[in-house]
Amino acid sequence: MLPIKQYFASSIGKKQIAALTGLMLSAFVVIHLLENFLLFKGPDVFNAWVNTLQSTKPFLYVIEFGLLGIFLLHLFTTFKIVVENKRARKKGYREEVATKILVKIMPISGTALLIFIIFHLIDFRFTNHHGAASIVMGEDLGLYGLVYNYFQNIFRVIGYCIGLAALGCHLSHAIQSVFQTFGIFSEKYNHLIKKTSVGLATGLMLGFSAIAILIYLGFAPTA
Amino acid sequence: MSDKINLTLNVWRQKSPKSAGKFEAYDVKNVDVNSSFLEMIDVLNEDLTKKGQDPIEFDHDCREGICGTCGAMVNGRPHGPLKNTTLCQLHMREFKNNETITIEPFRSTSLPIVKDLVVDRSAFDNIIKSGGFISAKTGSGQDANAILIPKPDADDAFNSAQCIGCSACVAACPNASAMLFVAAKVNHLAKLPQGQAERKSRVKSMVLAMDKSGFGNCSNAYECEAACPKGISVANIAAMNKDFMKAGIFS
Repeated sequence: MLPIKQYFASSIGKKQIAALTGLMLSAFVVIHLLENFLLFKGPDVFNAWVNTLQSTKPFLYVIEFGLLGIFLLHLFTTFKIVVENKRARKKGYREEVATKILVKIMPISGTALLIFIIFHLIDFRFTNHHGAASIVMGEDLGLYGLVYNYFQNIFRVIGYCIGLAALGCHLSHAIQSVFQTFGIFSEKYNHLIKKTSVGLATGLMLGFSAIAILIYLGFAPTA
Repeated sequence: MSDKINLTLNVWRQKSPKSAGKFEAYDVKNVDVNSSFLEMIDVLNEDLTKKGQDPIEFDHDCREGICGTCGAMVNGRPHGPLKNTTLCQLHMREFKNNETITIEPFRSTSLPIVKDLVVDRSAFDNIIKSGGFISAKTGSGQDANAILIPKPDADDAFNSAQCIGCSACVAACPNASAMLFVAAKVNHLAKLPQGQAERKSRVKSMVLAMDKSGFGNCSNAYECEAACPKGISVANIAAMNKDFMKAGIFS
């Protein structure tokens, strides 16, 4: 046994923190997508689910602060990892080793995701869920209306899809990486782990993007 | 059929660990395609010496691909383009006539450049010193059947033991991580009954020694496995991650 602080300061310990927190955040994203599918059930069903969540306060705050904590821990750990990695090779090669692009851009896709999440929270979490932005055809449809109106603008749809592309890139390497980091390796099942990782990341990316695009194209019910 | 080729080499020249260093171009004529990569540099070096110039410094020992002393980046690949082959066993028939070849030293902060293509691998020695061995009295060999080892375990241990510590894994890694080297050394002994007594302390001290040397963190790019002249698998890294977790948290 190692002192807990020393364990998590080690290279393997840091990666395991990054992997575990990343996995928890991914689980949240999956739940988030399932919730978003409720948009196609119409404003009543969607807003009823929103109200159910709201009614769990203050428990909801516990979940939100928990998520924030996990997110910050992921951010802090991966930032430390990236800084150390840069320090480990100060001068690069003239002819670079051809590293897989998705692995190479993990810090970039991660940063893009961070920026996306900040704007996403400003747009949907830290804004009034009732009022002018929620009115669809003269009726205040609450958070449903807010989402509906938001995605009537093609530029917002494009921006949203770019954010989701960053998520797809990030997770397609990240999910399979979790297995390796926790020592789950099998010649027999590795291809399955890899396919699941890429499949899940692509599924999440396409799922969220499709919802935004379908709302823009008018497939979401307004009553 | 021509047995000779002409080449242009872009070689990293650096006088001392602290000096700046730069690329220099050399035209080499009539290179025998059956000569090894190091022999090709030997011939160039004789030429440079005759001209009164400094020869290109590079490390080598056995020239049989088993000692792990040689190694340089050739066109952006550690040990050059041939898979499972060290630089000394790479032959000039792998190159085309009039090709330009870029030769750089393995680059990482922990294995600093001594001169030209020579790097100081003391950090690897320090990792081994921290626990990459078994504490046993030496003496005459035991009876072969005194300790029974299942064949698959013996094979696994042997595959890991093939690591020659050439540091191509560090050179290939986008983060200059030494995980493949350390994992190979850890697993070689973890797979054998003789390694069990110190298994937990070994993985802990070797990982901590690796971190202390300033190598980067593994981000599972697996470029190490692709570059390894001995074909060491990243399965070793997964096994070490698990062993470290077991030893560090659950024991």
